[in-house]
Amino acid sequence: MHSRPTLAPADSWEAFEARRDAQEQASAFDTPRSKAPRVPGAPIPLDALDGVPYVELHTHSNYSLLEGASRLSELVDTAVEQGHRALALTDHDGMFGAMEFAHAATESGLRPITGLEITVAELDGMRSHLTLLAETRRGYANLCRLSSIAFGINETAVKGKQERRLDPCVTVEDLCAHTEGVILLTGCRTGRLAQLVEAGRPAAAREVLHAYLDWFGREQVFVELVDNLVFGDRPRNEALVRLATECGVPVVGTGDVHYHARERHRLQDVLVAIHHRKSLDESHRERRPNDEFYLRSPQEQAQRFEAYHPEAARNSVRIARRCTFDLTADLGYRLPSPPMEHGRTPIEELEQVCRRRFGAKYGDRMRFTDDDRANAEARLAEELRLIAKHDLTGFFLVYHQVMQLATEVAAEVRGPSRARSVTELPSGRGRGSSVSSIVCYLIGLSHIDPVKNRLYIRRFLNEEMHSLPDIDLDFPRDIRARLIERVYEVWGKDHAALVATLPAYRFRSAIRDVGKVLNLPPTEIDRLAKLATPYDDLQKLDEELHRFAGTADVADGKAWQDLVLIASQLAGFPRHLSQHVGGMVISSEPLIDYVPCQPAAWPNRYLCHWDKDSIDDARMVKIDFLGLAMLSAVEDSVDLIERHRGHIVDLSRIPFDDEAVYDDICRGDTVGVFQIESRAQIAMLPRTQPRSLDDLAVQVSIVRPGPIVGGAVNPYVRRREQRRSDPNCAIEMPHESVRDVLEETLGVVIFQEQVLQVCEQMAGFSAGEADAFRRAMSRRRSKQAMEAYRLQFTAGATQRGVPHAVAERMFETLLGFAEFGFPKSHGTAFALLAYQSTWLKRYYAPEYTCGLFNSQPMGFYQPHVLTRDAQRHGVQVLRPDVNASDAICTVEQSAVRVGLGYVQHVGGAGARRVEEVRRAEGDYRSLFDFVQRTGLPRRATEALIQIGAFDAFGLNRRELLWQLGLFCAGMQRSTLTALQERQLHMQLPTEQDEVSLHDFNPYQRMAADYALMSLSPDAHPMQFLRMGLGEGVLSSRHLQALPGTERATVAGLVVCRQRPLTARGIVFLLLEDEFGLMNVLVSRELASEHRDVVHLAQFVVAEGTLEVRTGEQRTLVATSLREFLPADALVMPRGKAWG
Amino acid sequence: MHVAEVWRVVEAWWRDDALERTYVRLQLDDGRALTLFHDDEEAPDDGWHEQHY
Repeated sequence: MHSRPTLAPADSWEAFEARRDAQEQASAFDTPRSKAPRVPGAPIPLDALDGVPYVELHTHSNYSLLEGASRLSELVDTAVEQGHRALALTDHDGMFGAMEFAHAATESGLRPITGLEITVAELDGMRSHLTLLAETRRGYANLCRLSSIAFGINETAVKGKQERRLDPCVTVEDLCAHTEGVILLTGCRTGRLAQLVEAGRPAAAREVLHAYLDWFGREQVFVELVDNLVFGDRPRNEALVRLATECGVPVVGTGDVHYHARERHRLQDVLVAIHHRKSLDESHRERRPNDEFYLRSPQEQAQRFEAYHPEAARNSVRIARRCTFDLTADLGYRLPSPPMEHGRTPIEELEQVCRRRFGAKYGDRMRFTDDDRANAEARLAEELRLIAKHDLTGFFLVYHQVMQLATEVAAEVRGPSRARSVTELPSGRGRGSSVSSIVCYLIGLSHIDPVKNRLYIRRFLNEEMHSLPDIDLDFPRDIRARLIERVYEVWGKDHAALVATLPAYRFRSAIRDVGKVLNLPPTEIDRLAKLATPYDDLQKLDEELHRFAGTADVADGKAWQDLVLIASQLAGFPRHLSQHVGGMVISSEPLIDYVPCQPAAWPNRYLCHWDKDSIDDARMVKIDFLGLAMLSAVEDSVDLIERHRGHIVDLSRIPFDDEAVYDDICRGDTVGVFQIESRAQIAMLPRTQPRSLDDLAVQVSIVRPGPIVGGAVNPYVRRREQRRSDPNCAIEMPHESVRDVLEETLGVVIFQEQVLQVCEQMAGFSAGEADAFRRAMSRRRSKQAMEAYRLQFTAGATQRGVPHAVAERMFETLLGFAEFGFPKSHGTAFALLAYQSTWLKRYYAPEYTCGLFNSQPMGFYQPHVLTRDAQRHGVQVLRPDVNASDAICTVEQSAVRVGLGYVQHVGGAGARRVEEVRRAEGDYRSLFDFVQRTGLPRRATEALIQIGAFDAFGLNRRELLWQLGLFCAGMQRSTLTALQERQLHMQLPTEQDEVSLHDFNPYQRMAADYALMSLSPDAHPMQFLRMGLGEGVLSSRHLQALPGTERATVAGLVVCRQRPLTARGIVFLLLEDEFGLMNVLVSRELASEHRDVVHLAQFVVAEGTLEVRTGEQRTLVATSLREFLPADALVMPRGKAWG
Repeated sequence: MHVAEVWRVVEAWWRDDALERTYVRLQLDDGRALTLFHDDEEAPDDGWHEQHY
């Protein structure tokens, strides 16, 4: 059945929004911000402040991490509701939310003021706060610099960097050096001035105030009054007014706002307690004393400050008028422009670069016709015209420069490997819409020919662009790491920084942290957290509390109800600053004049304070250096093939029409293969039967939320089946106007470009309008905005003769792409890698398996699943051996030897040491010899014994452990860092203490393998547990033999549990037994009834009906489910008691 | 007599003995100071108590 949403048009966008919100909660949390529009709203004129009695100049959002208790959107919405016309954001020390705030406020008709509450390290060692506002562009740059200094940008020592990260602050000297264009408010209760006044030290306070006047200038300083009904506010404010009057300095009232509404004070208390790692009971001194730190209306605040000074409120408006710097318009970032050769203009330089490569790419007359070349020429000319029109030449030249660096880095990293350096292995690969560009292809950003693959360019470049094009680059991990360092070397730390992310609280982490500060029992909190899924909501958590035996009796109690409410408020809040997976910004001017930066945790790397969306809004060059583990795996495989077989494999020249490779794909034999290995893909491949790279491009793109929500999957699969049985059968199109666009995807919308093309072809949108619609969908635009697009679409389509109902249905389909979808260019790039990885798996399975093992963590499956799959493909997996294993996994004949680094407690450094010592001094002769020469910690050596790395020495593992105990008795200390202690103090004879012991049994050995390596080379738990399950429980092998629609009971280790949002509550379990994998479908009702089993159980018994369709993977539709614990089911001879 | 200060305390909302209280410090004409409090859950005119330090 076609699964198109059946909602009435008027409700559809709301439904999509709700679904997307849930999905965002589930998956998007690399940064928690709401998505601001890229096209800024018109600036709010100054006359908006006419007649306003008060402007709030001191506001904290949740970007004051673990302090502010409201989202920016909540603050902005509340401010607008209360009649505010301007608002200053003054988060603690950082400006993480400044750009988002500026856009969100402007869009809501609120004049944004950019500010910062900076912490000052006073000369007496105390910390104080000052409120700083950017009056001008120069003032903004000074705020950025101060924030950067506070977070340690000037620190050179590691210790200093760490201290500033944990305790950001500036010195008085730093402050003095960055005052131009800044308006200073003297701070809240923790301001130096307020503290001195409160301490009854007027002379010292006067001195400080005069110092501020000297540093900032008389016009720039205002004495700040705050009144939150805190004990001491009134006398302090009265004293501050007296001081200000005496010194001739104006006063200004502020709200010291920490949340938008009074009821959020509880969350604020919780945040403070989390921040200080204390419970609520223990954090009395750190928490605020009441619930009065909420945003108040201008009238209420004006009235409040009138009691202190008649100008206190009015001055806030005067300051707001003076702060004319608008972050949405005045940032002034300019794209970097590399130096030109021979006096060429930038566009001439870019054209020159493209021309140089054009001949090499399109000159082969065997592969390209004159028409192909003419098409490529025309495409190049058009792209260069658009690049010049949008002044993007510098942007592309910077990318070209980066790719040249990447080529150099790749040569260094790949070293003497001929396979990696002689072949045309690119240093990196483009992904995303940039792959559709011939300029990107020619300057080395992409490896896919956009002309030959008929890739649509206008998603990437068009006439009406509002933001910079997206270019993402994938690199093997080793190349990426070195490339980032090279970028710093070339551009310098002042001009290059990593993009930030602010990982957000998920529902699960919120439950843990809130539960802890509420002093709730850790066991129950832990269990509840494990059960929570990211898209749970308040109601579900409450239901869970009532269902769960540990909390059912107390679920209605105050503490648990507080947990439910506050955890749901906290979910989505930013938790800490982190670095984006690969985004870097580059600037021709010092970056810290645009955005605060700080040292990253990684040495010699710097991090800017904005996330990718803020960087995007600032129109700054962001280059995404993404580490793609599959590229590492593939390059590693190519290396291994050369080393072990002497074959040089050039993956760009392998046959791309190999029937045997496609046979594997069509069978769904794709565990460990790039992009088409997931449970959903494996289930679909036998039905769609991809037989070309074009088919694969569709395949990697179809199992995405966009096509799924847009209802593309079932019609596509059905039509593929129809086409197979009748190649000439007519494919139903939504309308003839889109036949050209949808022909290749059999009448459904799968690629992002098709959304744009359908808008153009069916409804007459311009390319810019179509792209604006796509962006509006992917960024949280209002229902009104989407309704406007709907009207435009249906009106345009009707004008072109499309029936209204057809246009409405098509618009609904397109709305599905509010969810994530691939551009075809991206699908094509990924399809190539999917094919190459399948090819390697088929023809070089040991090397490929080894490459996969060495590139973990990656992909859909854990190493133990990959192990079983490799074994099913004839690859033997050998356990680590101290005389045979390297630190990483290696290939031995047709087997893979697990590396020593895989063993827990040994670690990378320990494993490398074992390998290096052996290479330098020869094989280890005994356990004693090993211990003496490597000096590994006892726990590491024990682990190696337990997983059999010393089996070749002749003693069994228990005897080896006993022997190790004897050696270590004489050893006080033995670590890698204390080499002088490595030798045993005295080589005493131990033979008299050695005993003959029974070895561990096979089950114990298997258990040790899983515990210490997360895989077992020769055993699966189910082979031991099966006998305890009794009669009637089928294995995966039996399941394959059943005819179908039969009742069956299976059991296995849960290797994957999936609950796709698009599957309406259905949970898919992938079970593994000693013979293979089994799909189990758990209905929403059953999953709800057995939530514990579905979410927590390691081993599951599922009973149900086997569903078998021709050519498809078999699925057991479960009707009952239960957990089984090894201790219950295990039938083993009783072991000898020991020790 | 005049009101020298008003302040509020909200504490222990997570416990059964939660406290939401408004304090008023009065400066009496005879020079003495008096602190009164009122539990906010009660009606505004009820239950003003003297705080003894």
